[in-house]
Amino acid sequence: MMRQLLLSRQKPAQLIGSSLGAFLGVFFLLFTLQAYLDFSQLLNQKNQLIRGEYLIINKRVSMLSSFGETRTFSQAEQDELSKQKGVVQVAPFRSNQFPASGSILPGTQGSNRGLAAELFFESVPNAMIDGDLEQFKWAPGEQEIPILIPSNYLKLYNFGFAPSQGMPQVSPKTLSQISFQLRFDSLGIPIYKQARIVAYTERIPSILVPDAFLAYANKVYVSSTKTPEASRLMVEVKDPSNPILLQYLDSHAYESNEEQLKNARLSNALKMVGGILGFISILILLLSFLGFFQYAELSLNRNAYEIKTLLDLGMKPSQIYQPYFRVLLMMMGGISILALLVVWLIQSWLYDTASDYGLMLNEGLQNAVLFTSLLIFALFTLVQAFGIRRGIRNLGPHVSSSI
Amino acid sequence: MKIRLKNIVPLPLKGSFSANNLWEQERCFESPRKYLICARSGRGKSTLLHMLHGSRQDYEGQVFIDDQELSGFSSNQWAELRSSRMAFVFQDLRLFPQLTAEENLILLEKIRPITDLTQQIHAMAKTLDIESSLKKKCGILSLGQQQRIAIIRALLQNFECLVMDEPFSHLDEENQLKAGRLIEQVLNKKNAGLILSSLNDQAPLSIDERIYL
Repeated sequence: MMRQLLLSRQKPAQLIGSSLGAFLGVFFLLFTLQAYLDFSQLLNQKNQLIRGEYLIINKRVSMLSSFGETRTFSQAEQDELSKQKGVVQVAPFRSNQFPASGSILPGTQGSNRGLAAELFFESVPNAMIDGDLEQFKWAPGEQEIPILIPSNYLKLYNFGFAPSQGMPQVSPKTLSQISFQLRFDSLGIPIYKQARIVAYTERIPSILVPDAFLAYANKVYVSSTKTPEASRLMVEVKDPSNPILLQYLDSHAYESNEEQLKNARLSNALKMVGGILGFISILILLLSFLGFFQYAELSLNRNAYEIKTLLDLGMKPSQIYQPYFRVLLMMMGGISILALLVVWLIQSWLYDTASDYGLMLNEGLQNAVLFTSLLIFALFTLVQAFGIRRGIRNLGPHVSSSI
Repeated sequence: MKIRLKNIVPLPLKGSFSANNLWEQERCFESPRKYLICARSGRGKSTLLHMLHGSRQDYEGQVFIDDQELSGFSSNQWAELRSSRMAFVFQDLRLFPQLTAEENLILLEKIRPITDLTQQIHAMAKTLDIESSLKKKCGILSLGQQQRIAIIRALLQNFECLVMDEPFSHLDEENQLKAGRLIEQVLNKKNAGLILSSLNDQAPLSIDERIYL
């Protein structure tokens, strides 16, 4: 009977209209958030091996450098770079200071006529490399040296070298099972070690060995005690597209891997677009809820006579408020659940579509989206509840102006 | 229950009334006494009843109920007062036209439990000759029928003081007498007081004190 009284003069079309508005508001915000998180995760995945904001820099090779101009970074230069704004840390690439060569025919010592090549190695501190580094470690005394190569090298072999030479193609897995023979020349004495490729890197265009090994080998295999200067640096930065930093690199004729910067710029653009969309979504959300609030106020006013009369009879405002609150709770709950459902459906569709293009999106809803929908539900139900409460109190009992 | 008016004057009447024994006076209404306030239109009868109900606050002076000042009442205190200490019949009746007469009365139970409500409704409706209208929507009843439903609704409530604003205006003499008898019966049973307003000094029940405005 209370419901019949208090919700008697409502117009379903208006209810549907304002609910639809609120639904669209919630949906846009949740979808923007989900899409933003999905795509920024996708971008971060591309930098899997090196964490988000790492740059590899070297000095530009010019005509002069061929005539003795140094191309290595002195300690002073490294220190100066690390003091730049936005630079978190700087680590030099270590490279081998002794001749090295490798062959892929196991069991043969020294040079072979099959597949042998002069090699170079570099290393960076493990902390600078992200990814599966479980096997990528070495301690003095270990015979096998784990190696990390750019995945491009394998592609180059598989699609360039192997077909032209009539040799079989190898998969990364096969290759990682093949043991290599490494030969180092330590003051004229050959030293043989086994090596195995344990991981591939997308970003560091170099053959990497564990830093511990190169540190050891450069000390033990070489007579000189002078620590060589690095020709390449890894730099961890807060924002690789920071224009001041880019200017600093340019003015010192430092080069950086451009793709890294492109990615960072893309990620910046995504952040900006995400920010703008987020802002618009919040605006839509606020506007739609404003409509929702006005609908609630209108509802109260439509039933003003009933509310006033019940107050006249001594009903407590809190009791009158209950049927309205129940409707509100149901509507807000329905809107939130429906919005989540639609976001989920679209996300699943996007997930399928993206995987057709070889892009792996995050599967399912992001936690932040679930949390946000809960937050919106709680916040707006609360605000609306206060609004209804105040509206009922403001209506008060009938006020007669007659004498 | 003791209602005390202290130097009350409704703002719309300020400066426009002649000496009387209600405005700008100290005056008490005590249950179970029965008061009749008689005056021509425009003298502030309804205004006084609305002040007691809390729906008008445009007055100077103070109103106390058992030494509690009304102006400090919270909405819950008003609800308590209206649902269990005072019952009102207003001129505009304030029934719900979309509900049947019976539903209008049963609704009281949503506010506070009432023992034997249905039985009481039927007994009172029978006394006032309106039992056949109980199942009809209030909106289609005549004013006289609606007035009787409003009287029954007030009588069903818990109260120490019944406040009625020209409650018999649409009733014929016979029905006025029936209503008067029923009201008196309920008042006696509850040992409650009455404040009744009327355009003349006649009432279909016994009155202890008449106040002329």
